[in-house]
Amino acid sequence: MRASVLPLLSMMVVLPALGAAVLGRVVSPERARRVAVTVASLALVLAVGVLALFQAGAGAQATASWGQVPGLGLSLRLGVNGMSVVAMLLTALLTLGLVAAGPRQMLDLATLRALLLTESAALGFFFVQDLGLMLVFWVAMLLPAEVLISRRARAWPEARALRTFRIYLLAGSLPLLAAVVLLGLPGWRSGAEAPLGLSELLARGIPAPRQTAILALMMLAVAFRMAVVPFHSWLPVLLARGPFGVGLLMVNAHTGLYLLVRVAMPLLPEAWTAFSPLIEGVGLFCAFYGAVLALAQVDLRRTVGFLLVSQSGLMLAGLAERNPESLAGALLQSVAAAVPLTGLMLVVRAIEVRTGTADMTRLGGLVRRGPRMAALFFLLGIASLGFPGTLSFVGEDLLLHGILGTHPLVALPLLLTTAINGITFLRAFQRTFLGVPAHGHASVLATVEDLLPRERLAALACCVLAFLGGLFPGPLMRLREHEVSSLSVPAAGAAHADAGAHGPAIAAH
Amino acid sequence: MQLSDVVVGGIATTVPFWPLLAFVGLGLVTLAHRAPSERTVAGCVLWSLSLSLIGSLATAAFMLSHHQDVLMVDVGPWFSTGTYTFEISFLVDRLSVTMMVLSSAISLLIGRFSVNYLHREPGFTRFFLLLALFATGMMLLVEAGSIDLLFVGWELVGLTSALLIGFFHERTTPVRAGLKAFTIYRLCDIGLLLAVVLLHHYAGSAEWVEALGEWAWPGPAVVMGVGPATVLGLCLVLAAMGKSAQLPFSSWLPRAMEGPTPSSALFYGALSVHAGLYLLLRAEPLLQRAPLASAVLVGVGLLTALHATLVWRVQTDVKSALAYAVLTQVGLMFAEVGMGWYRLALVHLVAHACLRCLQLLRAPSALREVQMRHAATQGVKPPSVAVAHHVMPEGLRRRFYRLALERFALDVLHEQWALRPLLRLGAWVDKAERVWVGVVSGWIPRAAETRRLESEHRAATEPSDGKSTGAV
Repeated sequence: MRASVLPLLSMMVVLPALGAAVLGRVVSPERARRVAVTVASLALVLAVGVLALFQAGAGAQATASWGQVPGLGLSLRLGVNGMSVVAMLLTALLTLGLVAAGPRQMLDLATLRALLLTESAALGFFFVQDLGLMLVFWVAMLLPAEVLISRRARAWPEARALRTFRIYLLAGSLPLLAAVVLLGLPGWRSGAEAPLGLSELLARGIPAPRQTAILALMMLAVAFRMAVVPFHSWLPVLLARGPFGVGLLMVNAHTGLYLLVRVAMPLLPEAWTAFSPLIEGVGLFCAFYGAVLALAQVDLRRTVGFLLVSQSGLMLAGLAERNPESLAGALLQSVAAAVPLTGLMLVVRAIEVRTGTADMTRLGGLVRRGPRMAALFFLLGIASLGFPGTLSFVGEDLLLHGILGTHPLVALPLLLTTAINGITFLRAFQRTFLGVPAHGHASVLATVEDLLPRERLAALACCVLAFLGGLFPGPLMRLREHEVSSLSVPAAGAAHADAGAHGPAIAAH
Repeated sequence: MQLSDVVVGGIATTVPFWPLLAFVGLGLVTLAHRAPSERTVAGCVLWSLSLSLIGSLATAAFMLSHHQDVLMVDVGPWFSTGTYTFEISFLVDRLSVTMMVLSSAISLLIGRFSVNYLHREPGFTRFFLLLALFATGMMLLVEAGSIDLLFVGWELVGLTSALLIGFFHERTTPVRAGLKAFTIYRLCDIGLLLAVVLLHHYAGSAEWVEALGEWAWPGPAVVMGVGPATVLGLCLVLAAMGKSAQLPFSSWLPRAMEGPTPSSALFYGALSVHAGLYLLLRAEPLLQRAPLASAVLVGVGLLTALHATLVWRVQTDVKSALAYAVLTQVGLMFAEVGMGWYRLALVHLVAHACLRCLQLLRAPSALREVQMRHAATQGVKPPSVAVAHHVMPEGLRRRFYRLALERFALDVLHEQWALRPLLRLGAWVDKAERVWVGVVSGWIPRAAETRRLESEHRAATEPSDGKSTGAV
């Protein structure tokens, strides 16, 4: 992609933030919602524009340089590669879905602002080409939610459980800070021009002995962010009690995965290879743990939360395995699970708003009042859990082949996970929508309205994306083909020198 | 490949496609707009099923007239990365062409039957949508040229089966029965998934002709070590046991009779229950190389047949009795496959599917038929066919009677050994999680909250069904 006339990327980062600032001046909730939807759609339009101009390949494209931060030597340079294009589209899409289709009573002004600010920070994280700035955006992504939560916690004692969020995520960012400092030290000492620029770091390389410590720190931060067991406790709590959408956006933007693929794996290859059995073990355990806990839940929101935990584990295991199938599968799964699970959560929230609870023991028989709600819930559920014809089937199939192909027995947890997740979902569907209404709640459930047009549209869009992607996964896979081939192990031997010279993160000037 | 091959290949490819088209079209209209009229729904689905029957018949006629035994149709890759490609290809040989004709014919017949049977039923559209989806899945399953594609069809069949069992969703028992079937399917699918990957691993390809050799069915044993063949064979046997409800997974089949009668006839009389058998027949070169897997098949099949024939005798409703009758025959077919009598098993399968389908369709009027027979014979007792009863010693007979009444307590065993420990583990860990979150955040749920949580846990750990006897 040639440098376009407009600084598209910078506009994408600034636009949601500007929108959030404008929201501060709007009083009427209806107008606030309209402003937010407009901003989110504009961001999506810009994202589609970037995609249209994007050419699959190695280097960063659509670069825009805004000078340097003096002192630390952080270069304000934006660019996209295959990884960030997909992540950017996903973030823009999910934000629009959440803002447009979320229940109105949950989308107050503060939540809307937090959503837009989170989007802005996530996009910034995907675009910057400098590790120091990545760290800034990594933390900035948490702040809107943190502010919102601490304000709530003061007013509403139950929300105090959300303090886990602060402990887990803010504290979980400290290891990344340490890792960045460790990475930047040699550069600062020698007075390099961009001590934390991704391409410069790649060109310099990291001596093997230091890689272990840096990877351990980075993995810790990522594990907190991806909600990998045992660092996952914030996610179900946030989804169940937290503000609408923010937690979902945070986990489904897959910033942790992005950090691994973009920074940790290319920059620390030796340490990654040495630690991959451990990482894979943690990933598989996390997948299984999430699946078992999701099965045991009675609150739909927590069920979705643990399903997300389980998916995170699958992705981590796929990355650790490092063959083309498992890498492609893990990357595909990040989209394949995010889109339908977000849609599923939208439906769950719609149920919650209508009935006052997401507790399955108090629901039941909802299909009578909301057949479309039931149908969409069902379709989104099977789309997120590897049903043939959906994108997650492709993702899980690739993961399975990648992981099982190398050592068959290891993948038993993977197989059990997919089996249990399917059972969990069907059970949740039946308890919520089929059968008779729960004892004593029939009168509430008899007044439930079916999904509103905008909710239906958003859920249907998630469905269509998941199924279309499942039938034609080719284009999506091609976008990140370069990352897959340069990071996978068979290719690494032949193309190592090549990857060292111009790895995935280097700007094509 | 000659031109006629290409044409026939094209026709064979369209066979699963028509019902899918009907499903997608009707489904989108229903979801986005509103349910079309009964006439439209039934018309669309029946037309699509007729088209696929015509396609199957044309393919069969071509194969017969040209004395062709194997026809491979490559449609193209679905997705690929690195060295792995998911190819969509169809394999038409004697076995699959037989199954194609059988499946499409029975699907069409059942579809026609259901138009009247389900007239003015609230779930009319849903039933026909699921019927179309099932037909697609079944056709994919029998036509698949690779085990990957077979898995796609397999899953479609499993899901539609679970949903149709729970068709009358305003009652609790059908819904629960659906979940039960789905759970067992899902767990046994692990075997198939393992087999998918292991076949890639050992044979280097998931295509049937490449992995097992391009022979007219039934082909000779595959060229592969006994060890890998045994592992693969056992995986496939596990998958087939789940789908065909063999012991110890047979408890879901009688409960599955909660679904509407046409779907029971289609799934558990005719097609779905034989899908496992089809898988085994398809992988027959592997089984020839794996004596252990074959021996397991014989054992499982005979035990199932014995179990089912005992339980069948004490059932009080016609559909449960028929379900166990199905199990008896399918068990025998398993044993036949294990013994290596593949042609016999296929003939048995086709005959059984047709007969049982008819019996299940007539099941609602069984009582009336018995009365008519009584009237016709004027109360003369028919000769008793149950001889075994009189041979057995009294104590043993009583014990078997008791076991049969309890349906060998399979439900209870499943609950006790699989589901409940898993749920209990989940609930226990979940409780620990909540405590942990409470400790970390410094906010311990108040008493009311705790009580609510406890009731939640009770609900989660409660067995879904404690009863082991009684009508389904």
